Amino acid sequence: MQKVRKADLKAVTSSEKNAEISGVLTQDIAHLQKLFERCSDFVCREFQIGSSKAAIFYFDGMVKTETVNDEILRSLILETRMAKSEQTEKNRLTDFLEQHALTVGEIERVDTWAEALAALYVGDTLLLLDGCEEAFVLNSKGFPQRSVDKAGNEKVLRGPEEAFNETLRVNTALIRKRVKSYNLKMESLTLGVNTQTKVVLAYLEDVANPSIVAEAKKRLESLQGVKGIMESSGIEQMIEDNPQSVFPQIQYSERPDRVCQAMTEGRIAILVDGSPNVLIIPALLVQLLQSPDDYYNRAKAGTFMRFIRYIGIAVALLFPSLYVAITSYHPEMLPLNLLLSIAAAREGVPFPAFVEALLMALAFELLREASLRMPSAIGNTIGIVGALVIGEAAVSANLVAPQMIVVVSLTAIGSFTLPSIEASYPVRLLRFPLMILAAILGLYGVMLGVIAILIHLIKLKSFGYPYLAPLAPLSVSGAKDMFIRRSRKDVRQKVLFQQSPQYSVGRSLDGTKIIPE
Amino acid sequence: MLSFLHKGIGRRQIFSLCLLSLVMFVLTGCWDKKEFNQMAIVQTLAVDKHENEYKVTLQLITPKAGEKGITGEDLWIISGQGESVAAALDQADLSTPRRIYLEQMNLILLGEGVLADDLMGGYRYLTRSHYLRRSNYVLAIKGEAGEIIAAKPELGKIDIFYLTNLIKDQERKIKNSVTLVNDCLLAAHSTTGAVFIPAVILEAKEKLTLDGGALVKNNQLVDWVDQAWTESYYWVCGEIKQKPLVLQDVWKAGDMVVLEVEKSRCHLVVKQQQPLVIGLEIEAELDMVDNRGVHNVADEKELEQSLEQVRQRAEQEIEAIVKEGLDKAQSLNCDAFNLGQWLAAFHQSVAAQYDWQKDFKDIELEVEVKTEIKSLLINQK
Amino acid sequence: MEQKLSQNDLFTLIALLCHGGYFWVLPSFATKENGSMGILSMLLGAGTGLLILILAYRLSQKANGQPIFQYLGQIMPKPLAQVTALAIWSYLAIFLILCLAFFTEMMSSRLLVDTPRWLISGVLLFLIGRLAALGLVDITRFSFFALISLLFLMLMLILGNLPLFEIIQALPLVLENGAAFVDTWLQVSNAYAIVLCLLFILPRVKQEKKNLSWAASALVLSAVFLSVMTFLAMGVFGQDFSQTMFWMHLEQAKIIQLGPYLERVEAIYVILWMTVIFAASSILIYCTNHSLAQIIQRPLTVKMHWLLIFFFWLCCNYLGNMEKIILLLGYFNQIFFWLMIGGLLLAFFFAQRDRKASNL
Repeated sequence: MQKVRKADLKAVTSSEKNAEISGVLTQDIAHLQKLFERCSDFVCREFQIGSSKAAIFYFDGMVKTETVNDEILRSLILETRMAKSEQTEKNRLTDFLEQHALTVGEIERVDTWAEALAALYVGDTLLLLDGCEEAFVLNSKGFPQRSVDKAGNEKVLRGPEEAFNETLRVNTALIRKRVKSYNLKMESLTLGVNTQTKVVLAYLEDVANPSIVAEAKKRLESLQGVKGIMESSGIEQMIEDNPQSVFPQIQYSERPDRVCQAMTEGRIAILVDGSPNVLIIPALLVQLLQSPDDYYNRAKAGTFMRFIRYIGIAVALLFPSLYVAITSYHPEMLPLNLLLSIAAAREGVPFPAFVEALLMALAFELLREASLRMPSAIGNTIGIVGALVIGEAAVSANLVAPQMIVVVSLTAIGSFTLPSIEASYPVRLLRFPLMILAAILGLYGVMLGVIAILIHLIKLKSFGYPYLAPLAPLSVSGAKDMFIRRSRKDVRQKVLFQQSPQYSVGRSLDGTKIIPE
Repeated sequence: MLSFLHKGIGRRQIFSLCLLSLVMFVLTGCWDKKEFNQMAIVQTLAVDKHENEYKVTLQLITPKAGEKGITGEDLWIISGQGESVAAALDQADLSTPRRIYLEQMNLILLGEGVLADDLMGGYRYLTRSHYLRRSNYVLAIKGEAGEIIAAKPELGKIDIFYLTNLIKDQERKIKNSVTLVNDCLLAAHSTTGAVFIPAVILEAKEKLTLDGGALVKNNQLVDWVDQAWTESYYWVCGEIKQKPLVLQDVWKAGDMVVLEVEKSRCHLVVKQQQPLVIGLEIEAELDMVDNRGVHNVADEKELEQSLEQVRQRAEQEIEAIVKEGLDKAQSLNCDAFNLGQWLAAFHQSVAAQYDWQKDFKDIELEVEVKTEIKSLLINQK
Repeated sequence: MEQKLSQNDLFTLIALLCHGGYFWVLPSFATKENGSMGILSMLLGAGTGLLILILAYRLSQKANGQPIFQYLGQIMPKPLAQVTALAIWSYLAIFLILCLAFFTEMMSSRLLVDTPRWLISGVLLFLIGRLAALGLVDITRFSFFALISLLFLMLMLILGNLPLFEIIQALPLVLENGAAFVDTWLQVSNAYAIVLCLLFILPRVKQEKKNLSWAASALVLSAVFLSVMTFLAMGVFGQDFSQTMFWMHLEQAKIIQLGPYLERVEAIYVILWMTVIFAASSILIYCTNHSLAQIIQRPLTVKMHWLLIFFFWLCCNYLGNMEKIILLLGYFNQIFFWLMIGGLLLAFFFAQRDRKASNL
């Protein structure tokens, strides 16, 4: 029997929190109708059970009509006619209904308005009886939901194709069917004053570090006062260690297999009702760069793909800035043939290499954004045509050199090799400051930029764990695994994050910031 | 207003704004930036000297050259004169609206005037500049180096990398056969003070050929040597990987055998200290590639004898080539083979007894050749 | 719980300290009047550095985790302890300024000729300050990447110079000028004495038996590499010409050719080397700033840290040309080195006395 949890009640307004159901049906009906006045989808159906008056309440569209009609109304109106009169007396009516009349799977009795309203919001039907200070909450959830579909943003060549959808119970079921263990715990919270969004913290009790679980709960509970939570991204940005950083410290996935794999490694999943993206914490940089494909394919193929991916990332981040730096500051490094080819192409171009690179990179970002908003039918076509036309036209008009088109294209292709979209944002963003540094100081500037990024990454933590682990701090086996995927036979399932996390970053004494030792 | 700023925008944002302004300020600078359309790319540099004036001739590549392959028509020649190479380059710069870009240059041609007077003067400025390389090739030109460069555009469709590729091809066949700027610098401070610089000649305004070279000692030209001398140089100082050795009248008159040298190495030894005798032990691996004339052998024994004859002839031939070269070097008292440097490095006590630059001509040099022939083209009946 | 560094981390830190900016011009000084024999003076100097390392290690062990200057204050008369502390601090500070000045001078004269020096040194110091402000643990994490750069640099230099190397140019090894040899040996010793940073690093390292071996091996490897690099330079450029070169390793980088396509890779070489400078300077700033905090007996605040960075930047800019840098180097070798050695020996003497007294 699914109880309306105390945690769910916290989101209800304080005035309703402790108010009890009066038991006088007319009063209760009036109370509800006042609360939900101007709510056209609120339904109130009054009827008689024996000599007692009763009423059911629900939100049209949130309930399964068959359940309401057949399991609830039919049972209550028709079946109770067969009952003996003593069974339907007021003091024995509730028991009779629960034991003999109602054929709904889950039934709960509540006595406060808070619990009653919470049930209405999730698509249950509320049954009030005249003279009874308890209400029945009848499970009749039937709100519209998307079916389990393919993962649109995390494609793999081989492996399961199921993806999460917006319904929390469907998502928890997708996890539960893969992790068949009593150690799989799913703790629930309700966040968002107006949205009362259900959030579930899922983890494997035998592998997850209890301090991470406690910290996650603490951070989630701190969001109790938030007005509304519509998507997991809202929670993500509010609980991560450094929201100002361009690097995501929390991973998200729409793939149940990925989430389950993460949980078996000791990580924790946060499922949010209404969001198909499940958060995974902690998230280290190396985990953002790995794809489930690496493990579904053969070991050597997985290793090769990883190297290609790392090259792609390096190209996406550094290629434009290196091009600007070398052509503007260190052309002596280029072989003469290449230098002449670039020089010839740049002869009529009025802009310096930096401006060219900036223009083309911005144009590409515009195309990328535009193609996201366009209807899918024409989006792909416009994207391809736009790229070709703009690129070709720009070269013909002598606005950019052809080499720049190659650079920008390779950069874009490199950024698409990243398996997670959230990992591609830092690369796309940081490309621009690196280009600026390359334009000012050449390769020295690029190196300074890379060092600055490295310092930031070294400082960054995800739920107390160093973001650059296993490279910094160095763990040889972990670092090897970053690059070389060993065969399944050789790899015992690793449990990560067993060391205590470190949440304090610096000490302060009398309010003064101190440099840590 | 400031308090409004503090309220509306945090301290961090103010700091970021200031930093951004600074970045914008320095962005307009980009002090060391080089644009391609501001560069006159130099492919080859020729240095000549008349009396006390240097003349530099620069081979520039025209901007549009990279579009569809680069030919001799894509070159532009400019020149300048001055009291030094630096001054001459400065004057040449006045002929072009772009900055002369020497960083891609990999070949320096030194004319006879420079070689005769002051070899180092021809490139000292270039090596002091931080943007030039010691690994640039150096070629000697009998006459005017500028003529070689100036003649090239008339060659029509010849690739502008002709000379550089000529040298690189030579280097591929014979290691250490080319001379770099670094070699000239080493020679200037070495025990021998001598260096060999390969030469290029222009035949009938159409053909550029590597032919012989210049022997330079203490920054001055000693003499020109022919291609035969350079062969002796390759046997001693180079490592031959591909070179034919033609032997005439091997078994009988009219027989000609061609052997290809696949590997060669020269070891130096001190055979005797007083008086000093230096041994040059040359080892070579040869492969018979051609055999003109009919020479048939009846059995294994005869085959072996024939082989021995070929081997002995080859050794004699190589010895003769090397000895000729050594004799010429000793007659000029110019140790371009760097034997003195070797002696100073490995036999310091012996070397200390000699003033090598004066005594080289009197040192006894013995040549010993050992060959190994890998395959034969002899018919066995 | 305070995180402790491992032996690997200790090795990394010492290895990077021994390759900081100043070390890359050591071969020029070593070979100036000694030719190839300068290599021997470098190895002897590294030997002296090893002795100083052992001294610093023993002293730090006696301090038993206490801040070293606090410990000195307990075992020595206070004025003497202050003087010793100042001598050590001034050695560290000037070493740091010299490292930064050499690097800025090299960048300014070779790579970014027209870019203002204050910009080159400013951005570098800003980032160094940021890293040093994170603490020794994060500096060590960064140093791992710098160590990879260093290994790559070593490989690049050795493989790139071998094709042009001629042993007859590097030989013979002849001691021509004894006084110059001794002078060079002292200069190199002065440079390797930077390992006294161990006084500030060791309290943060896990107490294990082989800590000293790991630190010593880092120093020895650095000495071996520098010697090999110098020997290679002799073989490529000749003994006489090498003596005229100041940026010897840069010339070595210039002649590297990677296949037929990639030449003139000195820019790549310099920027990789920059990570090494970066890591070494961060360690130096960490040690210098924390040592000053110990001297004035106050915690190192963020303001104080950045003020010191600004001060170092000003000093670096004041040394606007090679002449001034060489002048400061001269004072460093003649005065500050001996002050530091004196202080160190004095501290060790008092520490020994204190140990004997406590044993009694």
